[in-house]
Amino acid sequence: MSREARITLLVLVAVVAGAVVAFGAPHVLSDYFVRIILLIALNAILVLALSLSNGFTGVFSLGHVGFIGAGAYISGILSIPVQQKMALLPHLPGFLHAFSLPFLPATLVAGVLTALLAVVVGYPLMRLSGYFVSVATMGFLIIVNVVLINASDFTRGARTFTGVPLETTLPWVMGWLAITVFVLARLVYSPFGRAMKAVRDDTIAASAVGIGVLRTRLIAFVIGAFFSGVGGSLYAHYLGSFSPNTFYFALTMSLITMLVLGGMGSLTGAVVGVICVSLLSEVLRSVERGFTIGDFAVPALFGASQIVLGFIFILVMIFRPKGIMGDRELTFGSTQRSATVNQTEERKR
Amino acid sequence: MRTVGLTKAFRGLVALRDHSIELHEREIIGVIGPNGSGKSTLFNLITGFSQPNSGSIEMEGRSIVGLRTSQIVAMGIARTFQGSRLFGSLSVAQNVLTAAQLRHPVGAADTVLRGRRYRERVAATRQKADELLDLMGLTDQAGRVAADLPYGDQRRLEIARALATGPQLLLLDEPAAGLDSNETKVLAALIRTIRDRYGVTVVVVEHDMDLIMALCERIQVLATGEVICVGTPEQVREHPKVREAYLGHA
Ligand SMILES: Nc1ncnc2c1ncn2[C@@H]1O[C@H](COP(=O)(O)OP(=O)(O)O)[C@@H](O)[C@H]1O
Ligand SMILES: [Mg+2]
Repeated sequence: MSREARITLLVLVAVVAGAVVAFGAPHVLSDYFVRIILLIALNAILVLALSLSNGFTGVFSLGHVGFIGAGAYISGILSIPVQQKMALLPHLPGFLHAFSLPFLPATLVAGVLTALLAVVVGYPLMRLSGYFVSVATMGFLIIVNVVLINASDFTRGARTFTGVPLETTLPWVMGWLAITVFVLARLVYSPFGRAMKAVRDDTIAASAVGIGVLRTRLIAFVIGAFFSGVGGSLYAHYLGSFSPNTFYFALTMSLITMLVLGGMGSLTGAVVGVICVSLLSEVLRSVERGFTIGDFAVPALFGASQIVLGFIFILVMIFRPKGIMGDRELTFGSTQRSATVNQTEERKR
Repeated sequence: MRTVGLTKAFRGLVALRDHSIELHEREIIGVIGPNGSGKSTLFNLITGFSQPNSGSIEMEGRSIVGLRTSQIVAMGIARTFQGSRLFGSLSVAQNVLTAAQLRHPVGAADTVLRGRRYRERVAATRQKADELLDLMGLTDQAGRVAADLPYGDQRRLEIARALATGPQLLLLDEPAAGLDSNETKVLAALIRTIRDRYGVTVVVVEHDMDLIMALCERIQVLATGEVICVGTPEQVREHPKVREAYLGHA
């Protein structure tokens, strides 16, 4: 089978399997498992959005959770039902009181406004490289947090933001995940994706072949921010209530761990990282509650799961420093380096 | 292309002083000088990696001082780097594709939708890259990761990549450094082939005389940032200042 045909088949299988899970799982599985699948899919969107700049373009952002938070609050403000807005957010500007958007448009607006925010933030920051851009984007995250806490007319400040309709169902998240994977795969495996990787490898050589370094980084950053904003909106409509600290360092660390563990230069790696970390922490969490095998009882050891998880991260980094997938994509049948799209095979067609 | 009165100083150290040169179409011209004489500085100024303190650089009558590197490359000036600056994690073919796509741009919407225009431009990019890999004898290595190539192949890959941007002017910074005499001969022949086939003007920078003497129609000699003389290989070889300032060191 040619490479093209195999990939087409794989995509079809993935889409069908995704649809079956999205619509079938809620009928078959308990709420607990449906919730786990939903969170995996939601985190996959967030980690994929992060991989665009951090993995493929070499701009290691620590600020994407700021975009997720912005998306969550924007979408939340837009979609709280009009009757409740007066009670919950009495000081909102008048025009925001007058309407409330359904889930999909609210999510799209959140994505677009977040992307615009990324243009403003990225224009100065994308000139920086290495540690400098990491620290600067973390500065952005801190600013977002402080703004969310202080703009209490819009956000209720440090108090819980609540009243967001619970509309994030598994089919919604799987649908958005499919769109995210589709768009990112086409971008990453295209001339634009090559430019991103060139900028990551060597900014000077990249400009010497006519690539606009700032422009390339900014586009990757802004597209990542769009999907972060979308993911934030899904998060908001999943939780219903949240506060500024929901979107802060804890979430940042968890997303970055998933990305680094999965492999930074690979889309499937990002998803693999999310699945591994999520499943492991669920399993470990149920184990630490204590269990019995036959007559042998293991007592509860609360906190042990965190320690084991930490150990596993350390082991992966020692034995697979480029993450589980590195820069290979999972294509079943042949795991290929994304860097070395097989030339000879492509030419045979 | 020409430079007039080009001067560049780094905190008091004058790396290039009052440099002028006028390039003729389709010529192969050498710039030689001992280490630290300002050769790479000249390339950095021409390609917009650094800005001159004074002087002008003109391409077809237009000043290019102050333009961004990517704009200068788009105008038809390409370069290689002293040492090697490949995209280490990309394959050999992708290194060349990354440069070849400059002349066959695709927009964001095209990239996501992949209509006919996208496929045509991607095919044209690939064709150009294949052609150059073939010319440089790198076809068999196309799928290898660039960082894993032997040194000699890396140097040729860097030239292939520069050429893929479709330049009228090709600047080669010490292309023979680290090559043995046989590889150097092959390289000289390749550079001539490139000039003949693509009609480019080539500037070769070297601190080693052999390649330059064999290859170039005209040579400019620099020492401590200043132009000592310009002329044919014979004229330069006989020039007393060159013997004193340069051959003495070599
Ligand atoms: N970025 C820089 N900062 C400070 N000094 C520099 C810089 N680049 C080059 N120089 C100095 O300028 C002089 C010329 O350097 P260069 O153009 O690299 O010489 P060449 O390529 O002829 O060996 C050297 O003395 C070098 O140390
Ligand atoms: Mg030099």
